[in-house]
Amino acid sequence: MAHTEEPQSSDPSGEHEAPLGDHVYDGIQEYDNPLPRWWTAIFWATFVFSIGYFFHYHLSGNGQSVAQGYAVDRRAADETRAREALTQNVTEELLASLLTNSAAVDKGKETFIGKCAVCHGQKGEGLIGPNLTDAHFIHGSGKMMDLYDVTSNGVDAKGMPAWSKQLGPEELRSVVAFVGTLRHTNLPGKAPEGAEHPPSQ
Amino acid sequence: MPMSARAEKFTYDDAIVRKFAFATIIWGLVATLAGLWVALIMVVPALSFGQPWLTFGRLRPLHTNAAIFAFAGNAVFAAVYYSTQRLLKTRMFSDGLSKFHFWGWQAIIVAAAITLPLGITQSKEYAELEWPIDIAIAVVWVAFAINFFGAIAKRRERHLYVAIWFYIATVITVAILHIFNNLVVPAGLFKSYPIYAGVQDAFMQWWYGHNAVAFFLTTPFLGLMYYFLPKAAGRPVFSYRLSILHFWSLVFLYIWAGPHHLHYTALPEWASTLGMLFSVMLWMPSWGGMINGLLTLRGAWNRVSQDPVLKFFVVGITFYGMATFEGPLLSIKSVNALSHYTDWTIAHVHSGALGWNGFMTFGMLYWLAPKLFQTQLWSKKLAEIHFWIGTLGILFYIVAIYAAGVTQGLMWRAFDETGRLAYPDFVETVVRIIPMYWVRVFGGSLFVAGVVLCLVNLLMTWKHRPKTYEEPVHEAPPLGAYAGTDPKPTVPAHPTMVSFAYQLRYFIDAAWHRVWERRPLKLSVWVAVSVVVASLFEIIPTFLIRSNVPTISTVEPYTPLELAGRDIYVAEGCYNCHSQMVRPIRSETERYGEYSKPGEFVYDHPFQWGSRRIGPDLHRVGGKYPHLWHLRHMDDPASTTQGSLMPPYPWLAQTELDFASIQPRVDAMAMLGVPYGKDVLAGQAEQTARAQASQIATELQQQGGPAGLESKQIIALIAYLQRLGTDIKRAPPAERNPELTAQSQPAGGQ
Repeated sequence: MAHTEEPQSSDPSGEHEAPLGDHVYDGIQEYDNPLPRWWTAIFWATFVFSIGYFFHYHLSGNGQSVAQGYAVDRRAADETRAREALTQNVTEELLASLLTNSAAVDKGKETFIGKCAVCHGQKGEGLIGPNLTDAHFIHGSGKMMDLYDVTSNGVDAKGMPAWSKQLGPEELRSVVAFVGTLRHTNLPGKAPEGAEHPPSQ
Repeated sequence: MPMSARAEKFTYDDAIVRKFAFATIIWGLVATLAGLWVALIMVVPALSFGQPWLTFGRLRPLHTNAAIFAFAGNAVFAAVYYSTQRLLKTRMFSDGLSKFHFWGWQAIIVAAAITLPLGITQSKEYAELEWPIDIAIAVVWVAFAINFFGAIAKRRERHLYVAIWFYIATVITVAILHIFNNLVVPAGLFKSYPIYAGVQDAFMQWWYGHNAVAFFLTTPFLGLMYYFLPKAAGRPVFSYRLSILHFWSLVFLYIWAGPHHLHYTALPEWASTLGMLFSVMLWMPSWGGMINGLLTLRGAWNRVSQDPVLKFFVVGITFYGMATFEGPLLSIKSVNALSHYTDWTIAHVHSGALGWNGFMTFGMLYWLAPKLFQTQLWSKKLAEIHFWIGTLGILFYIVAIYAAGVTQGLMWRAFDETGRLAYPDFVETVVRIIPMYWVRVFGGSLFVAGVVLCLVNLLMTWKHRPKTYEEPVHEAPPLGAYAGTDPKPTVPAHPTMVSFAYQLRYFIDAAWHRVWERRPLKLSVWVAVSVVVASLFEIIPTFLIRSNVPTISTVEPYTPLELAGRDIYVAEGCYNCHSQMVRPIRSETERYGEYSKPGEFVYDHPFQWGSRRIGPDLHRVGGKYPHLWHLRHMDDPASTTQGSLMPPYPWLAQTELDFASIQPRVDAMAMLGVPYGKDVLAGQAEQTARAQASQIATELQQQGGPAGLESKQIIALIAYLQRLGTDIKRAPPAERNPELTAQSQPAGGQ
């Protein structure tokens, strides 16, 4: 087999024991070096791993499926939450006492601006969600516990989130306290919705 | 070799290579500029100026398609046309087909550049182009295939070199992928619905998407490497048998790996596991290519410091090694749980696209320029500068985006000590990574600057070309019947075991492969068989086993108005930033709600699961907010979400919805088996849609929104968003009032 081009320079490092094959393509030649050992070893190892993995998770019945793993996590989280709920003893009186606690109200205001204002307005005057400053209430009669329940559990059908999922117990109480101070301040804003419950109640 | 055969004279067609080379660098500039632009509007959303065609959702597909099909595509064709002729000692099969291929492909790119910003899209990643363009792609690709296989048929070189094997795998597999992922039912000249829905559509899409990376961005570039690297280095290829082994293992294993794009989704778990395991097994076959590249340079390393071509190749191959280690890593489910939907994936693909595809292309162009233009490269120094700023650009880009991805992924899953999400507002996790996005803009600018230098260098080289190009005439005898002898195992007369050992030895020595290399048909058929068999192993069970998609009785087709809204969602490219797939991971269900079930997507032609969460997941957004929230949010996202990166969509509340187009769309869906009732099918789609629109508009007004929106696009979009993910929350059919069932299902609202 005649080489049409000058043979490529011989290997100066002398590492290539392998014969230069008789293939020449447009002057390109090929050594026939053996496969690096580590390459072959890892290649086989990935096969062995794959067979073992598939057997464990899909054939042996021992492997945990994604759904099972999720259920375990879920249960643990539910238990944590249930324990937290046991330690909470939120009452109308407790919440009412916060109305005059300026530290709690200020903290609540901060949360309100960050989380609630996009829907209820910067001052609670209503925007996407209802006006919080009038004497009309859609859910309950405007008692502190009514505010707490709506804030904590949300109103799924109307797009009000359950804030207890995001806010810790203290943060939740303080934002309810702030909203409590807004009642009956009658800021101009969104038209009243729900039934009227004057402050005397 | 029978020397008796009369030598034939022939020339190579380099004019076509010059065309493809220029197209490569020009589209390379367009693709990277589009990338820079979308990186910039991500940090400055106001730069979309309220123009539909300037939004991220519409331009991101333009960037990806330009990078893959225009830049890398033309580079592949330049490489194939230059090297194939020389490796086979023949001109291409037909100059006419070559020209048709070139101009057809450029026309397709122009069509893409026009239709994508107009919101004409199939919404499947890297397969966004609508059906008329898809047909054009198929035609041009077939022309390319005829030209390529025709050249093989009339070759004067007996055996096929490894580069040709890789080209064969590319030509065959891309055709299969393209055709089967783009099977659609048209609902107009520029609108279609895929024949697959939900889980199956997702599966087909990522079978395609992953293997587009494999057979459009990997195999042809390995072919390119096997030709241009030994040419530029003047060194023999390191190992012929490694070529054989890594070629066949790549071709066979790659196809299976697609489902790793769908870990923790509603895809059946066995498929997801196969995707992961085959990706892990792909690690060494990929590295086989890297080793064969880098070790070919043994004995030529001293030249790397002086030769920009070799520098580009070395860094390109190194990025290939990095990306193909990272690919298997990311396919491991627990790693993917963190990385998926984050910028980690974006960093991964850019180390591949900029490093591997980009640098291999630049290396090739600088090596080709003096040969194509028959003069010296205008400036070697400029090429050196290109190399360094390109490398720096990639590093700035990927380091920043890796950091962004890992940061955001960790923030999404962080819980505080009370078991609540540490960052419940999605936007907090976005605001945190914006500084990294600015670093990306910087890195991207460096890379683009490099592309400009390359273009200038090529243009100046071209300017110094001779008046007429020399066309050297080559000589070689035609191939007659093969007169050589095939290596055969010499099996002595021994017991069976010994004979078997000899056979095995023969197989391992791969001497048989030499026979295949002079039988292109056999080689091609086996490539096709490998690809098809591997595909069918996953496709058949995905489509036929009913338990893969358990039926949910409350899941119903979208109403005509919701379907129209969904088409707006698709056209605006919302899937580019929002997923619709809540994974069964607690940090996700806390944030978004119940995880997504396969049965919820049975009417989703096409699926909209998405692949990146630049904004939050939307699968459970239905009913989460009042209509008014959506109206204000689409008009100005920052008004409801401070710090949002979403561009405003003010035109949706001003543009009339095309009610007349709804009926054909419903009909097309019905043709696909979506059970629309008799009322809707009897030409009532428009009427039904108008009724629902006026209901939503009224509700919107009651919530304090403006009047008179019932005929606008925004109402359809709100209808769709409010429906999303709500079906499983409804009572099963038996308990529902039949009269209500017939009505539309306005979700949420007051």
